[in-house]
Amino acid sequence: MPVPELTYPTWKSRRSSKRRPGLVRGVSIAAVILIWEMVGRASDSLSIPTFTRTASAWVELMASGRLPMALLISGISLISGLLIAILLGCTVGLALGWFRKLEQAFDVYISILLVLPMMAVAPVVIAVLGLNLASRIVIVFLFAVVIIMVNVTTGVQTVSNDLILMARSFGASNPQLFRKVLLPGASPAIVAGIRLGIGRAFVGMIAGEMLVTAVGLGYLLLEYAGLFKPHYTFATLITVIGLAAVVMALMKRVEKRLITWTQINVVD
Amino acid sequence: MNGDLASPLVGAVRSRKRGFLTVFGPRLAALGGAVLLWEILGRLKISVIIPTVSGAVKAWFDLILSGKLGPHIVVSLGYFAAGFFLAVFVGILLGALMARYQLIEDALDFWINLGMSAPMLAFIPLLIILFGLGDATRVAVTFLFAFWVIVVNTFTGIRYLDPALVEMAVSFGASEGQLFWKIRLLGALPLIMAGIRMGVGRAIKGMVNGEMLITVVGLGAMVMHYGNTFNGEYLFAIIATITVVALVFTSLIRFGHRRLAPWDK
Repeated sequence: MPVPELTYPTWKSRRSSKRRPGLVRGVSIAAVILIWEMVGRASDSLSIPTFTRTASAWVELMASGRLPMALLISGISLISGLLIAILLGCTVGLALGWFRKLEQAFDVYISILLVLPMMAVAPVVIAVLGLNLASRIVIVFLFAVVIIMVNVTTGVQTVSNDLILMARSFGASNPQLFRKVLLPGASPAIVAGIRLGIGRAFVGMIAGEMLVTAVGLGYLLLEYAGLFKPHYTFATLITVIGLAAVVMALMKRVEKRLITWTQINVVD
Repeated sequence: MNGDLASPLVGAVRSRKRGFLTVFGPRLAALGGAVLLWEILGRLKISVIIPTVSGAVKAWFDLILSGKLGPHIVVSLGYFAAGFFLAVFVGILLGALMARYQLIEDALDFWINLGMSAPMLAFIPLLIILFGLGDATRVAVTFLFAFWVIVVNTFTGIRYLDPALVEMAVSFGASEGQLFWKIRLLGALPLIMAGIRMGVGRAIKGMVNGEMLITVVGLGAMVMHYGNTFNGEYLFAIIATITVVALVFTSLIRFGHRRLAPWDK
């Protein structure tokens, strides 16, 4: 006798086949822009520029070369700091994952580093290194490195014990175990950690520029806010958000492309 | 009776004692090593901004006893609490609505993704333009830092709940309301609590970042003050205070997590 299929109200089944998320999404984006424009026109104040005014300010900033220049300057500190953070974060993370005792010894510091607002450490960096590019790179590095390290460590630690036992019983040496089992096993967490690290690096980049030197995107944001030219601040802000969102979306795509076999828990 | 009660207790204490060195040995070694290293670094006088441990501890006691630190902590925590609780409330509500109604998810997921990846720090100048240098800006910064991760975790927890749980509840005749409150919300609780824990950390960061750029009151303002005057001992005392506050709050949420969702791990 066939088992009757159980029907119950799942929210999934309610999602009809003809749903068009793209359409709703587009309408929602258009609505936000429209409301923004209307609020900007209605408020008639200095503080909220209209969408059109912001768009023209963006074109102006691009044409005058201020925004491209800021992007370049910010990009240099972002990429250098991030690369150092990835390199060091992965190395230390792998070491902490491999040596239990080491991780136990340092887990206090890791929990501290995870909650410590790096922004508060920035004045120390500035005082030691001065108001220059080196400071900004170190600040980007500090913002990004912890999250990368933690995710790599957890990635190594959560590699299935069965896999390790199996490799051992087939006579894998330590280097083999590391290269062939732990590294591939931890790779989803490594990639996820790098993605989160990129997000933090953006924050570090802005933080460094706001606190350290009068350059880059962070400075543009503050300067125009100070000059009460909100349309320029909005235009710069949208550039920063857009850039971060695009890079993060690309990383997410890379992550999905590379890692198809497992679901991971990201430490954040 | 007394003996009956005592024996397991004594056993527990003894076993904890036995494990003490293996559990805390490496940690204590690392802690002692770090303090020593820091003290040496401080005594080498590399920079005025890197103090000795003893100097920083003295500065901290000085700040506490002179009553400079207390009011700033209270002010900071006030903004923190307002922004954070608003983020928890709105975040859970919105996350649940997005999980429940497809239309809301489709309309908002673009914005939520944007908020998750955008550096919130960049919004501070904008918030200053919109709300001025007052309380609203501080609360808004804290809110913005904490909000997104709470929404995403609530949404994920409810939407991707184990279907077997729903099936079981329905076969026992649960109504739609019961299904939501007793199955979906409760089943999502571990993820929601994890989101709140991440939110607490972010809210503290938002609070400090906001205060550092607004620089009138609060712990962040003190960081800027002592940073700008190259007062390393006091700066480190403040940084340590912020860290302790952050650790206390994340531990409280962890404790709440264990109490509310004891089945999770």
